[in-house]
Amino acid sequence: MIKFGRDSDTPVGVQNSMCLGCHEKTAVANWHMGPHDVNSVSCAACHDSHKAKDAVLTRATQPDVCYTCHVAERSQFQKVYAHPVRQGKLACSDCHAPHGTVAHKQLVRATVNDTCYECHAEKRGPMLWEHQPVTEDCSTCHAPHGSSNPGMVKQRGPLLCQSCHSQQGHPSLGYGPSGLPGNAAPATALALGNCMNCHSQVHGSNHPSGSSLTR
Amino acid sequence: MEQRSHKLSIAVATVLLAASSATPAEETAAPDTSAWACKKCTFAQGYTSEAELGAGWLDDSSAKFGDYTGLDEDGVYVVANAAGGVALDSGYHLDYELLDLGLDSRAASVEGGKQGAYEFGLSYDRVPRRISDTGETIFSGGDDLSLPGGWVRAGSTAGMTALGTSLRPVDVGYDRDRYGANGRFFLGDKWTFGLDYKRDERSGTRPRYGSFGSVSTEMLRPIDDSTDRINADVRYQGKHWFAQLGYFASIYDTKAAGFQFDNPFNAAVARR
Repeated sequence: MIKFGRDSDTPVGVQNSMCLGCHEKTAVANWHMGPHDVNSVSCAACHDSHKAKDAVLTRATQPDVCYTCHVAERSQFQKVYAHPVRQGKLACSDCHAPHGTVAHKQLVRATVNDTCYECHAEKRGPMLWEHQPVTEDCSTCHAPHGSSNPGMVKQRGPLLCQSCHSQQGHPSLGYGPSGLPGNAAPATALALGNCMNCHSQVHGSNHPSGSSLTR
Repeated sequence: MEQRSHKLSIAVATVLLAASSATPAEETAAPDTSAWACKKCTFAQGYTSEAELGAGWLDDSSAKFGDYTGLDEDGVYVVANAAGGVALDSGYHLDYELLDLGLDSRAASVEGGKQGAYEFGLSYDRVPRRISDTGETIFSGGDDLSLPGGWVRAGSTAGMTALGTSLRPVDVGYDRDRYGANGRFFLGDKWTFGLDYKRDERSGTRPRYGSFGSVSTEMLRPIDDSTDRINADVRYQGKHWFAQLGYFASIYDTKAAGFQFDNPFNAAVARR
């Protein structure tokens, strides 16, 4: 007898062949291209076919099913700045296609940016003045599963900006306690605290004079 | 002034050759289920429904607590959920779900169809973004921000003597209303035709900075935009392969493209 589920002794291939007999023709045609198949994840490890409401098909309860294996993402979504997965307004499958795709990280769109533009189309442009990493890969600066920094950026400004931009020709000095306000000679750039206080249009600008992304 | 961005992408003929030689060695042929009978599983037929009604009380206001939940103001909240559906022996089914009625995070959806023939769905979801409820600003106006009357310009806030009397409290955030409609039609067990439409509308404010040379000020910029996405595809499924032709369009439209603001500092530029 075939036993289904995460703890079953029945080989995963035998379990899944039951489900794929029907579902491979439609929803999971890319299954064999995905890491879940490569890592021998059975359909029943995520799906419960005996319940009227399968938890993994319900937006509010789906993340807990995914977190069973993806424990790092569980902790990341607890961070103070994160997409509203914890609040039940976004599910893992809004960005990822767990049944396999031709895209990196099983994203629902062909690229990271195209996936982000599903909700953040205002960042897509094209802009008169582009910021290269924006058009290249949103995850260069953002941590989509959560961050301790506003805007889900990977580092606080100015440190984030300084990971690419050197100090040459501009006072993008590193943070240090001696330069903060209250000391004898606080550096202007440090008093402002963040490159984006002036370069606010980091996602690109359409202003004719916006080449430095300040307006 | 209106700003529009268009992006079209076409994915043509994704062909998967999942021949038996490409499948994992662990997989075996599907079991013969012709003599199987479902004796223990019950399949619900007819009409089912359930409803929940609850109430809550918040003793304090908090934008962070209400971010994405709609529970940002103190006071009493009444929340209702409902779900139900009908399933017939003929294969027709219709299901609905109502969530968080009474809150700004409310959602509703309807799904239906006939098994093996077609399916469809309609959805609505409001996502409340509550960024701050402790902010203050000197500016007034939407996409053309003005300084208050009697404003005293200075090189820094220390010299802006009218600052204390000019600040007014503002809530920062926006609502995202999400609409969706989708349908899928199955022609035999080989052909599938799908159409998916989604629309997001946002309205509200979010903070941004404006610089005047070496000084900068924080203000609120209005958000009033929409994004439409259309996804259509047709698919043919072979025994060990499939071919799919898809079309995707995403259209962004903003009504708040222009933005001007006064300079509260005594710099050479009075406005940006």
